[in-house]
Amino acid sequence: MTPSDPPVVLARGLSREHAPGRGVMGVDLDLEPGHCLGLLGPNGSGKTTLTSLLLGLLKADRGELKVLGANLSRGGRPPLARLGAVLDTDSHWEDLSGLANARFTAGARGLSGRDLEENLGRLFEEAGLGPQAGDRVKAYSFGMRRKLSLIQALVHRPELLVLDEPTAGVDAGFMVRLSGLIRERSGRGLATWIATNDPDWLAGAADRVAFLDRGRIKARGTLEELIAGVSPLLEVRLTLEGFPDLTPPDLAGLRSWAQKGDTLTVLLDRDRGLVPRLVEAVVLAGGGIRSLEVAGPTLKDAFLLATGRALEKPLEKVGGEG
Amino acid sequence: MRPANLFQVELASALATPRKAGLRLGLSFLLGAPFILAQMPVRVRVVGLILLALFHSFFGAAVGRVRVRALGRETKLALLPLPGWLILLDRLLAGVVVDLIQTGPLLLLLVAVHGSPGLGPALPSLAWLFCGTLLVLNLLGQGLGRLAKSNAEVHLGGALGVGLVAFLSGLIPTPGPLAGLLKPVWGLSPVRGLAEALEGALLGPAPSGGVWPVVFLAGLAVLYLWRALER
Repeated sequence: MTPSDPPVVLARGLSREHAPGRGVMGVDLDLEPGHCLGLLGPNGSGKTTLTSLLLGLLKADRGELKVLGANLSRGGRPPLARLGAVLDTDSHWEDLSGLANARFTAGARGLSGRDLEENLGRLFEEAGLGPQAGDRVKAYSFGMRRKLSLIQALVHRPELLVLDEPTAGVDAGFMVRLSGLIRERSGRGLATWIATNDPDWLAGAADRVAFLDRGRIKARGTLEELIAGVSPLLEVRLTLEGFPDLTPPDLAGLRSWAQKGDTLTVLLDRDRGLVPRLVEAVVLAGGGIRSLEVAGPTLKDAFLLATGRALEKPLEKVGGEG
Repeated sequence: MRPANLFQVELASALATPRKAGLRLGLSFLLGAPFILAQMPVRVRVVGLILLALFHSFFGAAVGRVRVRALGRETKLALLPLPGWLILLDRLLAGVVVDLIQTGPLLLLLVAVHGSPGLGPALPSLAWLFCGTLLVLNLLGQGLGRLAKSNAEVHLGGALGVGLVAFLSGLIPTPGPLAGLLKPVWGLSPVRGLAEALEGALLGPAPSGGVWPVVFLAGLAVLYLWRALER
Protein backbone atom coordinates (compact mmCIF):
# COMPACT_ATOMS: atom_id res chain seq x y z
CA MET A 1 0.00 0.00 0.00
CA THR A 2 1.31 3.41 -0.92
CA PRO A 3 -0.08 6.69 0.42
CA SER A 4 -1.75 7.25 -2.97
CA ASP A 5 -3.78 4.00 -2.81
CA PRO A 6 -7.41 4.91 -2.07
CA PRO A 7 -9.03 2.97 0.78
CA VAL A 8 -11.06 -0.06 -0.27
CA VAL A 9 -13.67 0.90 2.31
CA LEU A 10 -14.16 4.39 3.69
CA ALA A 11 -16.98 5.19 6.11
CA ARG A 12 -17.56 8.58 7.72
CA GLY A 13 -20.40 9.24 10.13
CA LEU A 14 -22.26 6.24 8.76
CA SER A 15 -25.64 5.61 10.39
CA ARG A 16 -28.51 3.25 9.85
CA GLU A 17 -31.07 2.87 12.62
CA HIS A 18 -33.76 0.14 12.49
CA ALA A 19 -35.29 1.55 15.65
CA PRO A 20 -34.06 4.20 18.09
CA GLY A 21 -30.70 2.96 19.40
CA ARG A 22 -30.72 -0.15 17.17
CA GLY A 23 -28.44 -0.41 14.14
CA VAL A 24 -25.21 1.51 13.64
CA MET A 25 -24.57 5.15 14.52
CA GLY A 26 -21.81 7.51 13.40
CA VAL A 27 -19.34 4.89 12.24
CA ASP A 28 -15.92 6.01 10.92
CA LEU A 29 -13.80 3.23 9.40
CA ASP A 30 -11.10 2.72 6.79
CA LEU A 31 -9.84 -0.45 5.16
CA GLU A 32 -6.80 -0.12 2.92
CA PRO A 33 -5.53 -2.59 0.30
CA GLY A 34 -3.33 -5.28 1.80
CA HIS A 35 -5.05 -5.24 5.19
CA CYS A 36 -7.63 -7.28 7.03
CA LEU A 37 -10.08 -5.39 9.22
CA GLY A 38 -11.84 -7.39 11.90
CA LEU A 39 -15.07 -6.00 13.24
CA LEU A 40 -15.47 -7.49 16.70
CA GLY A 41 -18.65 -7.22 18.72
CA PRO A 42 -21.23 -9.30 20.55
CA ASN A 43 -24.47 -10.49 18.94
CA GLY A 44 -26.74 -7.52 18.21
CA SER A 45 -23.89 -4.99 18.21
CA GLY A 46 -24.56 -3.95 14.58
CA LYS A 47 -21.93 -6.03 12.74
CA THR A 48 -24.39 -7.48 10.24
CA THR A 49 -26.03 -4.08 9.67
CA LEU A 50 -22.64 -2.52 8.94
CA THR A 51 -21.67 -5.42 6.67
CA SER A 52 -25.01 -5.15 4.83
CA LEU A 53 -24.41 -1.43 4.28
CA LEU A 54 -20.98 -2.21 2.86
CA LEU A 55 -22.48 -4.73 0.43
CA GLY A 56 -25.23 -2.36 -0.69
CA LEU A 57 -27.95 -4.58 0.80
CA LEU A 58 -29.07 -1.72 3.07
CA LYS A 59 -29.05 2.03 2.46
CA ALA A 60 -27.52 4.36 5.02
CA ASP A 61 -29.68 6.98 6.74
CA ARG A 62 -26.74 9.38 7.07
CA GLY A 63 -23.02 9.58 6.41
CA GLU A 64 -20.59 8.70 3.68
CA LEU A 65 -19.65 5.24 2.46
CA LYS A 66 -17.29 4.37 -0.39
CA VAL A 67 -16.52 0.80 -1.37
CA LEU A 68 -13.89 0.09 -4.04
CA GLY A 69 -14.36 3.65 -5.26
CA ALA A 70 -18.16 3.44 -5.60
CA ASN A 71 -20.09 5.99 -3.55
CA LEU A 72 -22.82 4.01 -1.81
CA SER A 73 -24.08 6.96 0.18
CA ARG A 74 -25.51 8.38 -3.07
CA GLY A 75 -27.52 5.25 -3.81
CA GLY A 76 -24.82 3.46 -5.82
CA ARG A 77 -24.05 -0.26 -5.72
CA PRO A 78 -20.65 -1.66 -4.85
CA PRO A 79 -18.72 -3.12 -7.81
CA LEU A 80 -19.95 -6.65 -7.20
CA ALA A 81 -17.62 -8.25 -9.75
CA ARG A 82 -14.65 -7.09 -7.63
CA LEU A 83 -15.87 -8.32 -4.26
CA GLY A 84 -16.79 -11.65 -2.73
CA ALA A 85 -18.93 -12.19 0.33
CA VAL A 86 -19.91 -14.99 2.67
CA LEU A 87 -22.89 -14.09 4.85
CA ASP A 88 -24.26 -16.19 7.66
CA THR A 89 -27.57 -16.35 5.74
CA ASP A 90 -25.99 -17.73 2.58
CA SER A 91 -27.85 -20.45 0.71
CA HIS A 92 -27.41 -22.70 -2.30
CA TRP A 93 -29.50 -24.57 -4.85
CA GLU A 94 -29.84 -27.72 -2.79
CA ASP A 95 -30.69 -30.11 -5.62
CA LEU A 96 -27.64 -29.12 -7.64
CA SER A 97 -24.09 -30.22 -6.93
CA GLY A 98 -21.62 -28.00 -5.09
CA LEU A 99 -19.64 -27.71 -8.31
CA ALA A 100 -22.73 -26.66 -10.32
CA ASN A 101 -23.52 -24.00 -7.70
CA ALA A 102 -19.96 -22.69 -7.84
CA ARG A 103 -19.89 -22.72 -11.66
CA PHE A 104 -23.11 -20.69 -11.78
CA THR A 105 -21.92 -17.92 -9.45
CA ALA A 106 -18.53 -17.81 -11.19
CA GLY A 107 -20.30 -17.59 -14.57
CA ALA A 108 -22.42 -14.70 -13.28
CA ARG A 109 -19.10 -12.93 -12.59
CA GLY A 110 -18.00 -13.55 -16.15
CA LEU A 111 -15.62 -16.46 -15.50
CA SER A 112 -15.52 -19.51 -17.74
CA GLY A 113 -13.17 -21.92 -19.47
CA ARG A 114 -10.23 -23.99 -18.36
CA ASP A 115 -8.89 -21.40 -15.91
CA LEU A 116 -12.17 -21.46 -14.03
CA GLU A 117 -12.29 -25.26 -13.91
CA GLU A 118 -8.70 -25.45 -12.64
CA ASN A 119 -9.29 -22.73 -10.07
CA LEU A 120 -12.47 -24.40 -8.84
CA GLY A 121 -10.75 -27.78 -8.66
CA ARG A 122 -7.94 -26.28 -6.57
CA LEU A 123 -10.33 -24.44 -4.22
CA PHE A 124 -12.50 -27.53 -3.67
CA GLU A 125 -9.36 -29.56 -2.86
CA GLU A 126 -8.00 -26.89 -0.50
CA ALA A 127 -11.34 -26.73 1.31
CA GLY A 128 -11.35 -30.51 1.66
CA LEU A 129 -14.46 -30.76 -0.51
CA GLY A 130 -12.79 -32.35 -3.55
CA PRO A 131 -14.45 -35.77 -3.22
CA GLN A 132 -17.89 -34.17 -2.61
CA ALA A 133 -17.75 -31.55 -5.37
CA GLY A 134 -20.19 -33.50 -7.53
CA ASP A 135 -22.60 -34.33 -4.70
CA ARG A 136 -25.90 -32.50 -4.28
CA VAL A 137 -25.66 -29.68 -1.73
CA LYS A 138 -28.60 -31.17 0.21
CA ALA A 139 -26.17 -33.92 1.29
CA TYR A 140 -23.66 -31.37 2.66
CA SER A 141 -23.23 -30.63 6.37
CA PHE A 142 -23.47 -27.05 7.65
CA GLY A 143 -19.69 -26.70 7.66
CA MET A 144 -19.41 -28.01 4.09
CA ARG A 145 -21.97 -25.44 2.94
CA ARG A 146 -19.90 -22.68 4.56
CA LYS A 147 -16.85 -23.93 2.73
CA LEU A 148 -18.79 -23.94 -0.55
CA SER A 149 -19.85 -20.33 0.12
CA LEU A 150 -16.22 -19.41 0.66
CA ILE A 151 -15.18 -21.11 -2.59
CA GLN A 152 -17.85 -19.10 -4.40
CA ALA A 153 -16.61 -15.89 -2.80
CA LEU A 154 -12.96 -16.55 -3.64
CA VAL A 155 -13.05 -18.03 -7.12
CA HIS A 156 -12.79 -14.65 -8.90
CA ARG A 157 -9.92 -13.45 -6.66
CA PRO A 158 -11.87 -10.48 -5.29
CA GLU A 159 -10.16 -7.25 -4.28
CA LEU A 160 -12.41 -7.16 -1.22
CA LEU A 161 -13.52 -10.29 0.62
CA VAL A 162 -16.33 -9.81 3.14
CA LEU A 163 -16.87 -12.53 5.74
CA ASP A 164 -19.72 -12.52 8.25
CA GLU A 165 -19.12 -14.95 11.13
CA PRO A 166 -16.85 -17.11 8.96
CA THR A 167 -15.91 -19.60 11.68
CA ALA A 168 -19.42 -20.57 12.76
CA GLY A 169 -19.82 -24.31 12.34
CA VAL A 170 -16.52 -25.06 10.57
CA ASP A 171 -13.84 -27.42 11.86
CA ALA A 172 -10.71 -26.20 13.65
CA GLY A 173 -8.41 -27.24 10.81
CA PHE A 174 -10.35 -25.15 8.33
CA MET A 175 -10.28 -22.15 10.67
CA VAL A 176 -6.48 -22.32 10.70
CA ARG A 177 -6.36 -22.62 6.88
CA LEU A 178 -8.79 -19.69 6.57
CA SER A 179 -6.67 -17.37 8.69
CA GLY A 180 -3.63 -18.40 6.62
CA LEU A 181 -5.51 -17.66 3.43
CA ILE A 182 -6.49 -14.22 4.72
CA ARG A 183 -2.90 -13.38 5.63
CA GLU A 184 -1.83 -14.57 2.18
CA ARG A 185 -4.43 -12.26 0.61
CA SER A 186 -3.09 -9.36 2.64
CA GLY A 187 0.39 -10.17 1.39
CA ARG A 188 -0.87 -9.91 -2.19
CA GLY A 189 -2.34 -6.45 -1.52
CA LEU A 190 -5.98 -7.63 -1.24
CA ALA A 191 -8.37 -6.46 1.46
CA THR A 192 -10.53 -8.54 3.79
CA TRP A 193 -13.41 -7.47 6.05
CA ILE A 194 -14.42 -9.84 8.84
CA ALA A 195 -17.38 -9.44 11.17
CA THR A 196 -17.16 -11.86 14.06
CA ASN A 197 -17.57 -12.37 17.77
CA ASP A 198 -14.66 -14.80 17.94
CA PRO A 199 -11.65 -12.77 19.22
CA ASP A 200 -9.25 -15.72 19.48
CA TRP A 201 -9.55 -16.62 15.78
CA LEU A 202 -9.68 -12.98 14.70
CA ALA A 203 -6.35 -12.26 16.40
CA GLY A 204 -4.70 -14.73 14.02
CA ALA A 205 -6.32 -13.35 10.88
CA ALA A 206 -6.76 -9.57 11.15
CA ASP A 207 -4.13 -6.86 11.45
CA ARG A 208 -6.65 -4.08 12.12
CA VAL A 209 -9.53 -4.40 14.55
CA ALA A 210 -12.54 -2.25 15.39
CA PHE A 211 -14.69 -2.89 18.46
CA LEU A 212 -18.38 -2.42 17.80
CA ASP A 213 -20.80 -2.20 20.70
CA ARG A 214 -24.45 -1.07 20.63
CA GLY A 215 -23.98 0.26 17.10
CA ARG A 216 -20.95 2.43 17.81
CA ILE A 217 -17.23 1.96 17.24
CA LYS A 218 -15.66 1.99 20.72
CA ALA A 219 -12.04 1.58 19.67
CA ARG A 220 -10.04 0.82 16.54
CA GLY A 221 -6.42 0.31 15.64
CA THR A 222 -3.87 -2.35 14.89
CA LEU A 223 -4.02 -5.56 16.85
CA GLU A 224 -0.85 -4.60 18.72
CA GLU A 225 -2.11 -1.11 19.58
CA LEU A 226 -5.37 -2.39 21.01
CA ILE A 227 -3.74 -5.11 23.08
CA ALA A 228 -0.96 -2.82 24.27
CA GLY A 229 -3.69 -0.43 25.40
CA VAL A 230 -4.72 -3.00 28.02
CA SER A 231 -1.21 -3.57 29.31
CA PRO A 232 2.13 -2.87 27.67
CA LEU A 233 3.70 -5.82 29.53
CA LEU A 234 4.11 -9.56 29.05
CA GLU A 235 4.25 -11.88 32.01
CA VAL A 236 6.78 -14.71 31.68
CA ARG A 237 6.67 -17.53 34.23
CA LEU A 238 9.61 -19.95 34.36
CA THR A 239 9.80 -23.16 36.39
CA LEU A 240 13.44 -23.78 37.16
CA GLU A 241 15.37 -26.97 37.75
CA GLY A 242 16.34 -27.03 41.39
CA PHE A 243 16.42 -23.85 43.41
CA PRO A 244 19.19 -21.66 41.89
CA ASP A 245 19.61 -18.21 43.38
CA LEU A 246 19.48 -16.01 40.28
CA THR A 247 20.14 -12.31 40.01
CA PRO A 248 18.24 -10.15 37.49
CA PRO A 249 20.19 -9.82 34.22
CA ASP A 250 20.93 -6.47 32.64
CA LEU A 251 18.19 -6.65 30.00
CA ALA A 252 16.52 -3.60 28.46
CA GLY A 253 12.76 -4.02 28.70
CA LEU A 254 12.88 -6.03 31.96
CA ARG A 255 10.37 -4.42 34.33
CA SER A 256 10.19 -6.76 37.29
CA TRP A 257 11.86 -9.94 38.56
CA ALA A 258 10.48 -12.12 41.34
CA GLN A 259 11.81 -15.56 42.30
CA LYS A 260 10.04 -17.80 44.79
CA GLY A 261 11.58 -21.24 45.14
CA ASP A 262 11.73 -22.81 41.70
CA THR A 263 9.32 -20.30 40.17
CA LEU A 264 10.58 -17.16 38.51
CA THR A 265 8.05 -14.52 37.42
CA VAL A 266 9.25 -11.75 35.12
CA LEU A 267 7.47 -8.79 33.57
CA LEU A 268 8.80 -7.67 30.18
CA ASP A 269 7.84 -4.99 27.66
CA ARG A 270 5.48 -6.31 24.94
CA ASP A 271 8.27 -7.25 22.59
CA ARG A 272 8.28 -10.95 21.74
CA GLY A 273 12.00 -10.75 20.93
CA LEU A 274 12.70 -10.18 24.62
CA VAL A 275 11.53 -13.65 25.68
CA PRO A 276 14.36 -15.61 23.98
CA ARG A 277 16.88 -13.09 25.34
CA LEU A 278 15.50 -13.61 28.86
CA VAL A 279 15.76 -17.40 28.47
CA GLU A 280 19.35 -17.06 27.25
CA ALA A 281 20.20 -14.85 30.24
CA VAL A 282 18.68 -17.31 32.73
CA VAL A 283 20.52 -20.26 31.19
CA LEU A 284 23.82 -18.36 31.14
CA ALA A 285 23.31 -17.53 34.83
CA GLY A 286 23.17 -21.27 35.51
CA GLY A 287 19.41 -21.78 35.71
CA GLY A 288 17.96 -24.86 34.02
CA ILE A 289 14.42 -24.35 32.74
CA ARG A 290 11.74 -27.03 33.12
CA SER A 291 8.82 -25.04 31.68
CA LEU A 292 7.98 -21.59 30.38
CA GLU A 293 4.65 -19.79 30.09
CA VAL A 294 4.10 -16.43 28.42
CA ALA A 295 0.88 -14.63 29.27
CA GLY A 296 -0.34 -11.26 28.16
CA PRO A 297 -3.59 -9.45 27.52
CA THR A 298 -5.72 -10.72 24.65
CA LEU A 299 -8.10 -9.10 22.20
CA LYS A 300 -10.89 -10.21 24.51
CA ASP A 301 -9.34 -8.19 27.36
CA ALA A 302 -8.94 -5.19 25.04
CA PHE A 303 -12.63 -5.41 24.10
CA LEU A 304 -13.62 -5.54 27.77
CA LEU A 305 -11.47 -2.50 28.51
CA ALA A 306 -12.89 -0.51 25.57
CA THR A 307 -16.57 -1.36 26.01
CA GLY A 308 -16.94 -2.35 29.64
CA ARG A 309 -18.65 -5.53 28.42
CA ALA A 310 -17.35 -9.05 28.04
CA LEU A 311 -17.76 -10.83 24.71
CA GLU A 312 -20.00 -13.86 25.09
CA LYS A 313 -18.74 -17.16 23.80
CA PRO A 314 -19.66 -17.60 20.11
CA LEU A 315 -22.67 -19.87 19.71
CA GLU A 316 -22.04 -23.18 17.99
CA LYS A 317 -24.41 -23.75 15.08
CA VAL A 318 -26.43 -26.95 15.19
CA GLY A 319 -25.20 -29.44 12.63
CA GLY A 320 -21.69 -28.06 12.52
CA GLU A 321 -18.82 -30.31 11.66
CA GLY A 322 -17.22 -32.02 14.60
CA MET B 1 -25.18 -30.91 -15.39
CA ARG B 2 -23.68 -27.47 -16.10
CA PRO B 3 -26.31 -24.77 -15.67
CA ALA B 4 -24.74 -21.54 -16.87
CA ASN B 5 -27.34 -18.93 -15.97
CA LEU B 6 -30.21 -18.43 -13.53
CA PHE B 7 -32.81 -19.75 -16.01
CA GLN B 8 -30.89 -23.00 -16.38
CA VAL B 9 -30.20 -23.22 -12.63
CA GLU B 10 -33.85 -22.70 -11.68
CA LEU B 11 -35.03 -25.23 -14.24
CA ALA B 12 -32.41 -27.82 -13.34
CA SER B 13 -33.27 -27.36 -9.68
CA ALA B 14 -37.04 -27.66 -10.23
CA LEU B 15 -36.67 -30.88 -12.20
CA ALA B 16 -33.56 -32.21 -10.50
CA THR B 17 -34.85 -35.63 -9.51
CA PRO B 18 -37.36 -38.04 -11.09
CA ARG B 19 -39.33 -37.84 -7.84
CA LYS B 20 -39.59 -34.04 -8.05
CA ALA B 21 -40.56 -34.07 -11.72
CA GLY B 22 -42.97 -36.98 -11.20
CA LEU B 23 -44.69 -35.25 -8.29
CA ARG B 24 -45.16 -32.05 -10.27
CA LEU B 25 -46.61 -33.86 -13.26
CA GLY B 26 -48.54 -36.53 -11.36
CA LEU B 27 -50.24 -34.19 -8.91
CA SER B 28 -51.36 -31.87 -11.71
CA PHE B 29 -52.72 -34.79 -13.67
CA LEU B 30 -54.63 -36.12 -10.67
CA LEU B 31 -56.20 -32.71 -10.04
CA GLY B 32 -56.89 -31.91 -13.70
CA ALA B 33 -57.91 -35.26 -15.17
CA PRO B 34 -61.50 -35.19 -13.80
CA PHE B 35 -62.12 -31.98 -15.79
CA ILE B 36 -61.26 -33.86 -18.98
CA LEU B 37 -62.53 -37.37 -18.33
CA ALA B 38 -65.75 -36.81 -16.37
CA GLN B 39 -69.03 -35.66 -17.91
CA MET B 40 -69.57 -31.94 -17.28
CA PRO B 41 -70.44 -28.75 -19.14
CA VAL B 42 -67.66 -27.29 -21.31
CA ARG B 43 -67.61 -24.10 -19.22
CA VAL B 44 -66.87 -26.09 -16.06
CA ARG B 45 -64.06 -28.06 -17.79
CA VAL B 46 -62.42 -24.85 -19.01
CA VAL B 47 -62.78 -22.91 -15.76
CA GLY B 48 -61.54 -25.87 -13.70
CA LEU B 49 -58.37 -26.26 -15.74
CA ILE B 50 -57.70 -22.54 -15.86
CA LEU B 51 -58.05 -22.28 -12.07
CA LEU B 52 -55.55 -25.13 -11.79
CA ALA B 53 -53.11 -23.18 -14.01
CA LEU B 54 -53.81 -20.05 -11.94
CA PHE B 55 -52.84 -21.88 -8.75
CA HIS B 56 -49.70 -23.36 -10.29
CA SER B 57 -48.43 -20.15 -11.86
CA PHE B 58 -49.66 -17.18 -9.78
CA PHE B 59 -49.86 -18.84 -6.38
CA GLY B 60 -46.77 -20.99 -7.00
CA ALA B 61 -44.63 -18.05 -8.10
CA ALA B 62 -45.67 -15.96 -5.09
CA VAL B 63 -45.05 -18.69 -2.51
CA GLY B 64 -41.80 -19.69 -4.22
CA ARG B 65 -40.49 -16.14 -4.12
CA VAL B 66 -41.11 -15.83 -0.37
CA ARG B 67 -39.55 -19.24 0.25
CA VAL B 68 -36.29 -18.47 -1.59
CA ARG B 69 -36.08 -15.12 0.17
CA ALA B 70 -36.40 -16.85 3.54
CA LEU B 71 -33.61 -19.23 2.46
CA GLY B 72 -31.33 -16.29 1.73
CA ARG B 73 -31.18 -16.84 -2.01
CA GLU B 74 -32.45 -13.34 -2.82
CA THR B 75 -29.44 -11.94 -0.97
CA LYS B 76 -27.13 -14.33 -2.78
CA LEU B 77 -28.43 -13.12 -6.14
CA ALA B 78 -28.23 -9.49 -5.00
CA LEU B 79 -24.50 -9.99 -4.43
CA LEU B 80 -23.88 -11.20 -7.97
CA PRO B 81 -23.22 -8.64 -10.69
CA LEU B 82 -26.44 -9.51 -12.53
CA PRO B 83 -28.97 -6.86 -13.58
CA GLY B 84 -32.32 -7.09 -11.79
CA TRP B 85 -34.28 -7.37 -15.05
CA LEU B 86 -32.27 -10.45 -16.08
CA ILE B 87 -32.88 -12.14 -12.73
CA LEU B 88 -36.62 -11.49 -13.12
CA LEU B 89 -36.65 -12.64 -16.75
CA ASP B 90 -34.83 -15.88 -15.94
CA ARG B 91 -37.18 -16.61 -13.07
CA LEU B 92 -40.24 -15.90 -15.23
CA LEU B 93 -39.04 -18.03 -18.13
CA ALA B 94 -38.15 -20.93 -15.82
CA GLY B 95 -41.47 -20.58 -13.97
CA VAL B 96 -43.42 -20.70 -17.25
CA VAL B 97 -41.59 -23.85 -18.39
CA VAL B 98 -42.41 -25.59 -15.10
CA ASP B 99 -46.06 -24.47 -15.35
CA LEU B 100 -46.20 -25.64 -18.97
CA ILE B 101 -44.88 -29.05 -17.92
CA GLN B 102 -47.53 -29.22 -15.21
CA THR B 103 -50.58 -27.93 -17.05
CA GLY B 104 -49.71 -28.04 -20.76
CA PRO B 105 -50.32 -31.78 -21.17
CA LEU B 106 -53.76 -31.37 -19.57
CA LEU B 107 -54.78 -28.66 -22.02
CA LEU B 108 -53.44 -30.68 -24.93
CA LEU B 109 -55.46 -33.66 -23.73
CA LEU B 110 -58.56 -31.52 -23.33
CA VAL B 111 -58.29 -30.22 -26.90
CA ALA B 112 -57.45 -33.69 -28.25
CA VAL B 113 -60.41 -35.38 -26.54
CA HIS B 114 -63.07 -32.68 -26.77
CA GLY B 115 -61.83 -30.26 -29.47
CA SER B 116 -64.08 -29.33 -32.38
CA PRO B 117 -63.03 -30.43 -35.86
CA GLY B 118 -60.79 -28.16 -37.97
CA LEU B 119 -58.91 -26.81 -34.96
CA GLY B 120 -55.44 -26.85 -36.56
CA PRO B 121 -55.14 -23.19 -37.67
CA ALA B 122 -56.24 -22.02 -34.19
CA LEU B 123 -53.47 -23.88 -32.34
CA PRO B 124 -50.83 -21.08 -32.53
CA SER B 125 -53.38 -18.65 -31.13
CA LEU B 126 -54.25 -21.03 -28.28
CA ALA B 127 -50.58 -21.71 -27.59
CA TRP B 128 -49.75 -18.00 -27.45
CA LEU B 129 -52.72 -17.23 -25.20
CA PHE B 130 -51.69 -20.03 -22.88
CA CYS B 131 -48.00 -19.05 -22.73
CA GLY B 132 -48.80 -15.33 -22.46
CA THR B 133 -51.26 -16.01 -19.63
CA LEU B 134 -48.68 -18.07 -17.74
CA LEU B 135 -46.12 -15.28 -18.18
CA VAL B 136 -48.51 -12.63 -16.83
CA LEU B 137 -49.61 -14.82 -13.91
CA ASN B 138 -45.99 -15.62 -13.02
CA LEU B 139 -45.16 -11.93 -13.11
CA LEU B 140 -48.11 -11.12 -10.83
CA GLY B 141 -47.06 -13.94 -8.50
CA GLN B 142 -43.49 -12.63 -8.36
CA GLY B 143 -44.88 -9.19 -7.52
CA LEU B 144 -47.04 -10.55 -4.70
CA GLY B 145 -44.09 -12.58 -3.38
CA ARG B 146 -41.96 -9.46 -3.31
CA LEU B 147 -44.59 -7.53 -1.34
CA ALA B 148 -45.45 -10.29 1.13
CA LYS B 149 -43.34 -10.22 4.26
CA SER B 150 -44.03 -13.75 5.52
CA ASN B 151 -45.25 -17.19 4.58
CA ALA B 152 -48.64 -16.50 6.19
CA GLU B 153 -49.06 -13.24 4.25
CA VAL B 154 -48.24 -14.82 0.91
CA HIS B 155 -50.65 -17.71 1.42
CA LEU B 156 -53.47 -15.35 2.36
CA GLY B 157 -52.60 -12.93 -0.43
CA GLY B 158 -52.22 -15.78 -2.92
CA ALA B 159 -55.61 -17.29 -2.11
CA LEU B 160 -57.32 -13.88 -2.29
CA GLY B 161 -55.40 -13.10 -5.48
CA VAL B 162 -56.52 -16.29 -7.21
CA GLY B 163 -60.12 -15.42 -6.33
CA LEU B 164 -59.70 -11.82 -7.49
CA VAL B 165 -58.12 -12.76 -10.83
CA ALA B 166 -60.85 -15.36 -11.40
CA PHE B 167 -63.53 -12.77 -10.56
CA LEU B 168 -62.02 -9.99 -12.69
CA SER B 169 -61.64 -12.43 -15.58
CA GLY B 170 -65.29 -13.48 -15.43
CA LEU B 171 -64.53 -17.10 -14.50
CA ILE B 172 -66.87 -16.82 -11.51
CA PRO B 173 -70.57 -16.28 -12.35
CA THR B 174 -71.26 -12.54 -12.05
CA PRO B 175 -74.69 -10.92 -11.57
CA GLY B 176 -75.96 -9.02 -14.65
CA PRO B 177 -75.40 -5.37 -13.59
CA LEU B 178 -71.93 -6.14 -12.22
CA ALA B 179 -71.05 -8.06 -15.37
CA GLY B 180 -71.78 -4.91 -17.36
CA LEU B 181 -69.34 -2.96 -15.20
CA LEU B 182 -66.63 -5.61 -15.42
CA LYS B 183 -66.81 -6.09 -19.19
CA PRO B 184 -64.00 -3.57 -19.94
CA VAL B 185 -61.77 -5.37 -17.39
CA TRP B 186 -62.52 -8.74 -19.01
CA GLY B 187 -61.22 -7.34 -22.27
CA LEU B 188 -57.83 -6.72 -20.63
CA SER B 189 -57.54 -10.11 -18.92
CA PRO B 190 -55.41 -12.74 -20.68
CA VAL B 191 -57.08 -15.34 -18.43
CA ARG B 192 -60.47 -14.35 -19.88
CA GLY B 193 -58.99 -14.47 -23.40
CA LEU B 194 -57.66 -17.97 -22.80
CA ALA B 195 -60.99 -19.16 -21.36
CA GLU B 196 -62.93 -17.84 -24.38
CA ALA B 197 -60.42 -19.33 -26.82
CA LEU B 198 -60.64 -22.75 -25.12
CA GLU B 199 -64.43 -22.67 -25.10
CA GLY B 200 -64.31 -21.78 -28.78
CA ALA B 201 -61.90 -24.64 -29.43
CA LEU B 202 -64.25 -27.08 -27.72
CA LEU B 203 -67.64 -25.77 -28.89
CA GLY B 204 -66.69 -23.89 -32.06
CA PRO B 205 -66.11 -21.56 -33.65
CA ALA B 206 -62.38 -22.05 -33.08
CA PRO B 207 -60.41 -18.85 -32.37
CA SER B 208 -59.08 -17.23 -35.52
CA GLY B 209 -55.42 -17.81 -36.31
CA GLY B 210 -53.76 -14.71 -37.70
CA VAL B 211 -50.11 -13.79 -37.84
CA TRP B 212 -49.63 -12.11 -34.43
CA PRO B 213 -49.77 -15.25 -32.28
CA VAL B 214 -47.07 -16.76 -34.49
CA VAL B 215 -44.94 -13.61 -34.15
CA PHE B 216 -45.35 -13.56 -30.36
CA LEU B 217 -44.56 -17.26 -30.07
CA ALA B 218 -41.48 -16.79 -32.23
CA GLY B 219 -40.33 -13.92 -29.99
CA LEU B 220 -40.81 -16.08 -26.91
CA ALA B 221 -38.94 -18.93 -28.57
CA VAL B 222 -36.00 -16.61 -29.29
CA LEU B 223 -35.90 -15.57 -25.62
CA TYR B 224 -35.92 -19.21 -24.56
CA LEU B 225 -33.20 -20.16 -27.01
CA TRP B 226 -31.02 -17.30 -25.80
CA ARG B 227 -31.31 -18.34 -22.16
CA ALA B 228 -31.21 -22.09 -22.81
CA LEU B 229 -28.17 -22.07 -25.09
CA GLU B 230 -26.02 -19.66 -23.10
CA ARG B 231 -22.76 -21.31 -22.03
